[in-house]
Amino acid sequence: MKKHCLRTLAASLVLLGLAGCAANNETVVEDVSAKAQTVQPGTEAGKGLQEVTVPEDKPVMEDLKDSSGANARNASADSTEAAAEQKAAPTSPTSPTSPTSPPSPPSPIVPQERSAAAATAPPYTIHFDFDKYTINDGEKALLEENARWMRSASGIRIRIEGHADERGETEYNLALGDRRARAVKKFLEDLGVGPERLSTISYGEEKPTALGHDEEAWARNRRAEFDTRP
Amino acid sequence: MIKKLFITAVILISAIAPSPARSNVYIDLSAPSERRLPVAIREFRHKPAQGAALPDDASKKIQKSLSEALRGDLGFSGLFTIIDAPGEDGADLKKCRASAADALVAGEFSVEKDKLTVEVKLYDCVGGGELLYRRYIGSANNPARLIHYFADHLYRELTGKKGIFSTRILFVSDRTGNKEIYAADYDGGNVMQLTRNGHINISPQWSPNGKKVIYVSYKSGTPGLYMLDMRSGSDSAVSAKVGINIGGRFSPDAGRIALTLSGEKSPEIYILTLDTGDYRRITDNYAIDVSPSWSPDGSKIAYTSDISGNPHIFMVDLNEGKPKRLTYDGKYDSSPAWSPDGRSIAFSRSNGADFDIWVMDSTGGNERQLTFQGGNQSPSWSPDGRYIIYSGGNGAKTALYIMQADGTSVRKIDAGGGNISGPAWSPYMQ
Repeated sequence: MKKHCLRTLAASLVLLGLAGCAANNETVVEDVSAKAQTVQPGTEAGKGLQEVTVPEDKPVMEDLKDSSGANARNASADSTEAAAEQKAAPTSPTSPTSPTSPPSPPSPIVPQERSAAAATAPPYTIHFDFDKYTINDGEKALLEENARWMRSASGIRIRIEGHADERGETEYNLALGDRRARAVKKFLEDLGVGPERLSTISYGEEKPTALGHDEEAWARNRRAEFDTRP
Repeated sequence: MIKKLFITAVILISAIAPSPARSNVYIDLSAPSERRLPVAIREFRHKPAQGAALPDDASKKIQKSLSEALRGDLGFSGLFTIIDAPGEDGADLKKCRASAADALVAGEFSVEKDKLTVEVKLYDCVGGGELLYRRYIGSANNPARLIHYFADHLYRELTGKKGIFSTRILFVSDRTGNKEIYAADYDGGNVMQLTRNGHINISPQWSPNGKKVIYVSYKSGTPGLYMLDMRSGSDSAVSAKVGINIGGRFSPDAGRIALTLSGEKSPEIYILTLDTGDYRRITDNYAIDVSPSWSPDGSKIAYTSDISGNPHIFMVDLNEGKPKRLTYDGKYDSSPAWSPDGRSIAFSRSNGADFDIWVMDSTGGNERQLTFQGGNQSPSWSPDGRYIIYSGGNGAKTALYIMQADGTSVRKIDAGGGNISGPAWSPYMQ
């Protein structure tokens, strides 16, 4: 039954004066050759063997960044980038004993436990509602303490890190973290902290402090943290 | 029914008879049918290269890879029934005529050092004759890749449309302990790690010819946009301005990149012209504007904005410049992805709890929910518009899924370990 149909089709095609199978191949070769470096030996009439070189996707291994942040690729590719990496290295929040800690803070405030709302001294982490970057009234008191602390510790510079919980899209969350960090920066500036002492960065949903997947964890992750070693 | 289908095909062909480009369409994709075309696959035969006999186990391994890849590709399309063909020598066409199959694939391979050569024929068992006779040369380490190329050609031969089997996907995985960018074949095989900088790397996107990848990385400390050349391996910064430089998407003509910069203000959509380095601001407000997606003709950009209070999909005509809101329902609509034919936009939506993939007309309206399990985000279309890949999974583990563009035939893609997210489907690779 099926065969009959297909044969009918083939016959019809011939009747229509269309290209047969072999000629048909020849039309296909064009789009292949365009991109895949095809040669067409096609010596055998009616068969049309076509050769296709399948491009091998080379393993691409880039910026194998060692601890010093400098390697051949970086040096040759983009010197500003390499410099930026070197500069960025000490800011890693995973190195709490960084030698670049501020010289004379008024109190031992290098936050060992940067995560929770349980900090006992400024700078305090503040938290946000879902998908919001306005500062809640309850958090304003904490920011006022942070501002007071900064005014008294004149040598300190702070980088405000904006974070989001894991829900929602990565890119939107990066923007949300950016808005949160900037909202905090503005708030501190309005309280008299010099803008030159404040910088911001967004980590979006990329650096959760609570690893759960429930409202409690999300609430802890929607936050602005204060990095005293920018 | 079957008869009717083919008669329709003949009529269609008659209508375009002067064009020699395509002739016999065995499967009409525009007329969905329950019928699957029976295709017989003969076991690939090892043809020892001159003076270089391959050990039996190595030969078997390649044979298995070739066979599995072909079955995987044809099975993925949902258009074929696969029949095992007897493996005797000669008279393939005769055998094929006597079998229940409408088409037969018979191939042989040889290996010289790392070079794999596969010669494949596709026979029309019914009408008779060879539809395809091709030789593929590639890496013996990756037999499936050669088959993906052949599967494209087979698909084209039998449906008249380009296949997506040689396409690739980009994604993010945290399998090393931090988020790095990876590439893989569309089916999750042949995984390649593209970044290894130990920082956060996200949002990979293809250039229109599939040869470059742009992505967001924290490798210089702050979120910047980088471009990686897939052939040479060279990597360079594209945009590293103050604030965030995220969500880059190549324009269809490859000359520009739409992205979000926050600068000293709020996150806005810009268009960066690569030749000149000029930035043109597209949105201007105090809201969040992210995730630009170009219309295929390059005249419009859809994006996510929370200007109305929570995230919704907007669209801006680049000639007129006035944003138009496309979605009103939903509490959190994001990640618009324009379909290749320009008619639809896929996006993710939450109505308060979980996220699912939706699709709407690109002018807004006609919204349809495609997934229902929750935890589904980041849709990206296959270049033929027949499939959507997305990341799914609530809570602990996320993985990639591919569904047909109508939401059916969902399958999980195994692309290795870790939480996998942010998929981007490549353009056609051939």
